[in-house]
Amino acid sequence: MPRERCSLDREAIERELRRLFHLAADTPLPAPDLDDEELAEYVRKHASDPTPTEHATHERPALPHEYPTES
Amino acid sequence: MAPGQDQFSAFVAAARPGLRRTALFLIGEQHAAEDLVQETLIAVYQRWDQLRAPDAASGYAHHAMFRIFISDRRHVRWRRETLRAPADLPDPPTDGGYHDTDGLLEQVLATLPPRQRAILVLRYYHDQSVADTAKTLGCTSATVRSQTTRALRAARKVLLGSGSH
Repeated sequence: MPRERCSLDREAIERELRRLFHLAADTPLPAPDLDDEELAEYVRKHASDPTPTEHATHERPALPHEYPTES
Repeated sequence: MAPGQDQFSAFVAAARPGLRRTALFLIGEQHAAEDLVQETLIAVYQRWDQLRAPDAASGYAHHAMFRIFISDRRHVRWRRETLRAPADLPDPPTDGGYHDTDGLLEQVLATLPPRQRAILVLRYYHDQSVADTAKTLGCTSATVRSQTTRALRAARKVLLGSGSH
């Protein structure tokens, strides 16, 4: 256990979380079901399908210039 | 193939690993994470004509993934099911360095509601500031600060409970 986890003040927790995230990020990802081109084709097909589906239960996210700003 | 389609395929290939990693942190289960990546890419494709610059597309995909994640009730439902059955969490893979974390990160994230989980991923994996995190999630900086405090408090409990301290 790293020394930081012993004290566990806020900064130590933040350091530990960064360490854990980056350790996990070094782990190979599991193989996907579709290769990149198959996925791109799937996306093209479903993006142009106007029929609402279970996969369209949310509003389309705004573009960056449409994000609300803090007052 | 219509103009821009080759660029979209190239974007998918380039952006996919990062999106998959982030989705896995957010959701914790591979197939649901792949669904989130697909939904994110569909959102990007629907805006593709406005997102030809690679940086714009990458930035939009990043924001879109988090917005979809916190607004989609399926992800909330999935996490609740996980919380009811923590023993069903997938075992960490043993072919990489993942086991070095002793599953601690998964335990921390599994205890959090979606918005707090998203905040930890943005702040401590993507190294985003409070202001940028607020912009990504569409909330105020005050909300990010308060939710970060709650998430860190929950993380502390998990880390304290991990023994050897």
